Amino acid sequence: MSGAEPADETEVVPIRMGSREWTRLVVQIIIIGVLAVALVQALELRELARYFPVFAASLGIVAGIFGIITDQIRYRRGIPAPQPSIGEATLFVPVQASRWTEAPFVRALRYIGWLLLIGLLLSQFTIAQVAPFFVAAFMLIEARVAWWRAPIYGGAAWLLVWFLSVQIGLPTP
Amino acid sequence: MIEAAFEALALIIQPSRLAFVFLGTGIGMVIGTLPGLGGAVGMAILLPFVFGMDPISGVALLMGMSAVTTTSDSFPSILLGVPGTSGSQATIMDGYPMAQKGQGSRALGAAFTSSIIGGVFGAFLLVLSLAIARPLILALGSPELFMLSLLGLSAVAVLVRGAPTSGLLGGAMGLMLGTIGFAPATPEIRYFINEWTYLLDGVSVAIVALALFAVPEIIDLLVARRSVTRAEYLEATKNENLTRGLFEGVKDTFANLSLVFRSASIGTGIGFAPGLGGSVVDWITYGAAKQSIKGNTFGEGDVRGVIAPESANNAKEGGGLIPTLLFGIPGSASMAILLGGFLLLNIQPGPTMLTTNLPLTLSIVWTLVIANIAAGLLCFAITKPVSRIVTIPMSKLAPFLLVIMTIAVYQSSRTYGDIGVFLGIGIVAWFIKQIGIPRPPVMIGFVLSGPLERYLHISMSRYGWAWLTRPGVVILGLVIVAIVLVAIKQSTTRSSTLVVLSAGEDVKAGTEGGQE
Repeated sequence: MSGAEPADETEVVPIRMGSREWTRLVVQIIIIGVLAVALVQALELRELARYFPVFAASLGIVAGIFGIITDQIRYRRGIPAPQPSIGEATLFVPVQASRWTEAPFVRALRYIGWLLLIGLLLSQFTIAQVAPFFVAAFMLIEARVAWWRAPIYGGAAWLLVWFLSVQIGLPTP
Repeated sequence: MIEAAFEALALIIQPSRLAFVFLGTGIGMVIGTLPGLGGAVGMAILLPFVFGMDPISGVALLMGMSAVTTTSDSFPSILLGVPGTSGSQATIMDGYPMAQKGQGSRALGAAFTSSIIGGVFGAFLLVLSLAIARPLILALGSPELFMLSLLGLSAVAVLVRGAPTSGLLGGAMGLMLGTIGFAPATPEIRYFINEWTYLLDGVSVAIVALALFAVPEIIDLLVARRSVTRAEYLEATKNENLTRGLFEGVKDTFANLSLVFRSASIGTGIGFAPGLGGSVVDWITYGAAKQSIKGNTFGEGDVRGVIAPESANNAKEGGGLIPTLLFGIPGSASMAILLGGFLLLNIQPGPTMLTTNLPLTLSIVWTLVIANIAAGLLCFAITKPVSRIVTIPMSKLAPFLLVIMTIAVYQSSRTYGDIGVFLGIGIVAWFIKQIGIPRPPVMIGFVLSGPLERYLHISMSRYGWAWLTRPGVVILGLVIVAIVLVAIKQSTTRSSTLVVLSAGEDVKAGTEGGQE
């Protein structure tokens, strides 16, 4: 074991561009593009309103381009793409999914769908109307609780909204 | 100063304000026990609720919450091998093996006691630094404050885990997000997308904070089906005498008081340096303790391996407050959100925190002291029931959190736009998390965009381009360039990166051990 260690440290195995590396590259390019558009728009502003966004967008574009270059250097030297600074990312974790619906990306899309659903519902109804049904449905479908328990969770959600809005007096959507 | 300290104590012990300290402490304890939800997330959840509060009550709520997540995070770290917050990763190294040996309550007793002592010691050092820093900060002008803000942003951007260029990119994204709406120096609207009037006043700090930190964690915890193994926990602790174990941990801490103070001093120092706090403070103190204690059994269930990081991660809150309060430079994500809270409460960090706002500053110190003691004692009292909270799967918590967060963000401007922007930024934040663009620099860039633009505007108006030649500005500029260049070089060097990766793998191994 000890004999193998020096070889491991000196041997550099370049990292091939996988799905995570490609996604990182594409998203970096998109962000640089958005910042470039923001920079062009900022140039049309009056001087006092212009200089700070120009500075910030320029900083971002330079950092983004350097980021793409240093990423390629890292991969060539066998250093993987950076991990999240807080928590763990799940999108590119290899898992043995029994069904395609259980793949991390599909699951993430499903939960993003739930987020969008509550947003959409709140554009039409109040939180007091939405929360019980939303929580009950989430519990039934995602937490897979027994059907008779789902309304109990829905009721708890309604109580929570009632407490925050009536008892504490917070304005609710 | 002593008179002001007593005045601040009188302010904070008023029942209505003390209630907010305890409310924040209670919420912070629950958040600390939930794996993946740290002080930044808790701060983000509470931030919208401080609208309209008086400054002392609002800060008491936020600080009460923030100060104690690093106390209650010992529950999942020790009992389950899952870091409750990023500051308790190193606690797993010896705490979890102790729990596996049936000494979980002893480890918890040591963790809570060292957290209390460390937190109070950090607050004490904060008071000392206020006295020392007062003449220094009053001598700084707008150009130096601009460069200091830039230094804070750069340091956080390049020192958080990940590539430094990604951090800088994140910081720039935050700065740009902060430029939306009316320009401060001239009546012109910037980035008035689709003439959506909601954007005229810019995006609320509370929405950005909640979207950046809470949404990605919830989605990832749901995707990972993160829950903890109740059976394993019960198996490891069923034969323990809880009270006796806790008391043994208290005795262990008092037997190692020099280690507690040494670690707390390191923690305060690290908290003071922008970008170094959070996830590294526990590792640095753990490493220092391992090197300094001869004949240790660190990694196999040595109680000193719990005492060192737990003393430091509570003490770092005091250290982190020094640049936040005195310079308006947040050293970490949670301090950035706290800074946002100050702005919501019409508190302007900077020299005034040592003059007209001195009672408020000292009330924060008292809040730290009270919250740390209360949280430690409460942790002792509720060890058994609280440890059950960590067994709730995120799929059962998420819908309730979503409802609470929706109501929370709605407090910003009380329009549907709050919810739309929250969801939009939250989904983008999840994507950037997946590809390794760190979120703390985005938050810090967003919070600092206002002060940075203001300092730059004043510097340009008063000195023209000549402000760039001031000695303080030149020195700070060179420090920024040096930090960025060294960080970029290190990020592309294999050996230094491997050290970080191996440390992370250790945590992951512990984490996996505690999961289903």
